[in-house]
Amino acid sequence: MTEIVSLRPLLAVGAGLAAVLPILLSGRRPALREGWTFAAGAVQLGAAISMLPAAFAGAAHLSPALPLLPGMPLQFRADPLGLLFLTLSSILWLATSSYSVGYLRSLGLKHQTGYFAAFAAAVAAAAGVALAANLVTFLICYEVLTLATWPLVVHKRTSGVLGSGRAYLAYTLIAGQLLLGAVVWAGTLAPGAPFTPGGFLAGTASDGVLRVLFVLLLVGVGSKAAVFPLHGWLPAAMVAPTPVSALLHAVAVVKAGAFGVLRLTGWVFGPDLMHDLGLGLPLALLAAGTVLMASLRALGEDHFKRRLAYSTIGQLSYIVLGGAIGTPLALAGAAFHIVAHGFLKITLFFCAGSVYAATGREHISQLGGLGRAMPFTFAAFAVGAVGMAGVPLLPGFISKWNLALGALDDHQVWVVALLVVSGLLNLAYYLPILRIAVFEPGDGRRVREPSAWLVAPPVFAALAAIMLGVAPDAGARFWFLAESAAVSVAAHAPQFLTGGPP
Amino acid sequence: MRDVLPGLLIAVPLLGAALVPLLATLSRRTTRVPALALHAAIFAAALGLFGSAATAGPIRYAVGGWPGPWGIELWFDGLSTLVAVLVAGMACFASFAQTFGPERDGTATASPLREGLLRGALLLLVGGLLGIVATRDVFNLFVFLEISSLAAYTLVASGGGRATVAAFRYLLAGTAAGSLYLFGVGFLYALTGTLNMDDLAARLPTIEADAALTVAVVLIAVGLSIKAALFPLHGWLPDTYVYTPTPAAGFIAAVMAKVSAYALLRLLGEVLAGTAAGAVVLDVTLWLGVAGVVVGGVLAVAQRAVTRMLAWSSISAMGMILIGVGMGSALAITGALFHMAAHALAKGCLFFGAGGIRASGDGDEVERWAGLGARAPWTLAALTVAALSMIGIPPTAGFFSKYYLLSASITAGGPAGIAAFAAILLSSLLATVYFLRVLEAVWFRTPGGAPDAAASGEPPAARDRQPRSVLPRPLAAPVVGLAVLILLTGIFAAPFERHVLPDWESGTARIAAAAP
Repeated sequence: MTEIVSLRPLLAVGAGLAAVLPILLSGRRPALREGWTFAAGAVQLGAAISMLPAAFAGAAHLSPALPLLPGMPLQFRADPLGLLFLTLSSILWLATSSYSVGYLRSLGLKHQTGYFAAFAAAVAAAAGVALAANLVTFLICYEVLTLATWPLVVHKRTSGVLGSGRAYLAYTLIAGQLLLGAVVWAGTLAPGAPFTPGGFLAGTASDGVLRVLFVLLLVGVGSKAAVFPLHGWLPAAMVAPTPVSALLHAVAVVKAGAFGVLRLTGWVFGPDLMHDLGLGLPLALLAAGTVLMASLRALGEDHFKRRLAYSTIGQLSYIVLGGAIGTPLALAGAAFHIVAHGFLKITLFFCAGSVYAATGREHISQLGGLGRAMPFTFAAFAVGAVGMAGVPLLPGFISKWNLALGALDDHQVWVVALLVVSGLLNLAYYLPILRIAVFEPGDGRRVREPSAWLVAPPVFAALAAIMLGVAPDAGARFWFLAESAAVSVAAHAPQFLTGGPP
Repeated sequence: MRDVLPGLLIAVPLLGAALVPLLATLSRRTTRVPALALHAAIFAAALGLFGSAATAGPIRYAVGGWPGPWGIELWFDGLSTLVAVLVAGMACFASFAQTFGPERDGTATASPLREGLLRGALLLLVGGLLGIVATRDVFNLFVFLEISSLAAYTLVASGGGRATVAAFRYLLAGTAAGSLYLFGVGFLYALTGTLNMDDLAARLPTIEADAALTVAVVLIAVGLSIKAALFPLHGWLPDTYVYTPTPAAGFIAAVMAKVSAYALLRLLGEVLAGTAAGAVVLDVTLWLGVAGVVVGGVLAVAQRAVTRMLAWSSISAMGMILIGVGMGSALAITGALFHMAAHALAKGCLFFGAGGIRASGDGDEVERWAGLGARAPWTLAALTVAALSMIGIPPTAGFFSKYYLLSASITAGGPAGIAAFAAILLSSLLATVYFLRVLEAVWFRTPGGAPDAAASGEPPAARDRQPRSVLPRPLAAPVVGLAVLILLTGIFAAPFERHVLPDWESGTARIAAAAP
């Protein structure tokens, strides 16, 4: 891959970071404060878009390296996978920002300045995770991400909420320390190695050492991705304001974890090495178990946001599954699922938040009658719900279809069965929400759609999801990015190369 | 410049220690400006030597023109100039903060003369520490050790009340340490007939390994370990750090134990490394460092008072530095020195801040710090940076020093390497527990201990009536300045490695080559 040394990756990462201080300083002028947020979001999105043409042409923007540690520079590279994640998070950050404005104002929440500042820092860190060119850069952004989201999670500041915040930090920071240990270890095995399609660790140490290293790295990134049994913090973190949950799930924390798993399997170890070490199948089984466990838990959960949280745990395990299988189609499906799940899940969370802002209701059993009172919101919700289940013409279908094909390439027939069962379970826990909202009678109180700030973002996200499902290669060409990321990995794993994507 | 700076670096603080109190007696006015100017000059000299050693190689300076091995030599290479810069720089901050004077609890009265004496004591302390760092003569090192200790006892005791008891305890421990060290030096002198470090290193291999040599090595190691607060010889440290008046506490906690650890590194890692006993002692140091890291961290979690928690966390950090010293590889030494710097900056910042908050009446218990973030966002943001560096969160300096030490442990391998690796990771987790408790109180809880009861209501009116500042300005400025340095040190650390590592490697190689 040809590389273009430029400052654009730094601009993409730095935009959010640079906005933190102005936001903090303009706390007394809300309009200006939110102006900074939108400006930073626009700059980040602009930087991302400006790097797309190079990616379409098979090149990558590479930032100048800042030497930090022996042979370990701080460096960002906009390769297809990173660019896919960056573009997604830029678009969704703008959507979430406008939603946040409406949400915070309509509920009159306190600490709004700190909220927007932490939000900007978190998105900047997520951008850093996306573009990190090596493990050390990845680790740095990853830890910053953890800390930047802490104030967001504990935004309500009550005792119970602070307790949930502690649970969140316990999981993520302990995992962060294991990740640090693993990164240092990998650094001694392959000093200064950047993320390389197909991995860079092959032949650097004995099989046993590499297996231990893999487990450490997996726990490090997997706890953010909420892979079973490291998922405990995610439902607890639902105490956060809804836009934060939306961001955590669609872009920042959980998604960064899933992204990390893909980087780990495709760019650090590589499918070949994973296969030789016998790591692919156990990881795939772990992901499959997580999918089923999360779906079953979601069925029994009445709290609206927590049901969505369990759904996220299941959906992100598809990404882990794709990374574990490691065939080109499976990787492409997994990478595309980052985008698909991002748009769909943010729609669902926006809807849950709108319901809360309009009525104060947090439980699914209380949703009766709202479907007719809030038609736009629930129309968007319906799109998100069936999209999650993998209905054709919505993006979830594309990722699952390719995952299934990829699994068949590797002769893992059971994955297809898993995808079918899980799709049915998805419908089983999403459709009742719609049924209650549309067909069950309300309690007679008048309910109306909340302000346009709260209605527009979910509708936009739902429309974007439809567009992505119909034409996955239009606009930012997410499918192209996912595919070229997968192909770059596969090019180094010829034994899996079994024909091009559809 | 290379001809005069080495001498001035030691002479200026020692002379200044006498001049400043004299000036205070004569003028009966504050001696703030002259003292600060002296510290700035010392810092400039240290920086100049650092740059000179980096560009033109190490400097050997014969005091009074008497060359070694008979005369006393000073030695400035990447390592010693780095520690000198650290000491002199922290002293500038401490001197700036010293204007703030005694604690507000009325235990001590402020008068120009008393102030001048304390400023003199700080200068004397700096002179002693710089002497330890620079000298190439083992007996001269003892002299500087005593000079710095005496000055430190004065500063600790100046707090009055319980600080006097702490100072006495420190004095007992320090005197024992100095005596043990001196005995060790006596044995070495009897065995080799020389006191010069390079000469010693050259002659030791020719000595028959016998009990006397072993005793000498052990005595020196134990003496310096007491001063460096190596577990289980750390007993003097917590009370000393907690009761010392704030500006001095910030300086003593930041650099004093580290200079002793540096002396340990010089003697054990370089001069005595060739002896059989030296190798064993280094191994023991490594294991005790591992134990200290864990014990210090666990006991820090158990504390409710912030300053006492910081003191125990220092024991953990000294353990980490001594792990690096014990491991002895170039990577480990870099990590140890880097951790000295990172920890000095962070601990200085935290002690200036915590001590100042205690002195201005906001208390020392974690609960009483609730809501401080809303009152003094900048100061508390600076303290937050320091706390994150202590935990080792990137991109602060503490992350990078831990990275080096972890890297060195893995490279070393074996049981000791694995134990060190696990202990360092564990210490980060423990630090997470005890520092995030504080950060949570500071940023997310409201005064009164209860979490924000009025989450949806009006902010408590009491907040507006409270004073805005939590720190006197002479303390707030160093706190914020140090936080900025913590961030910069982390990100721009590459020159550090380029500069320090080769000097250590060439130094040990030179000594190895000098041995017959």
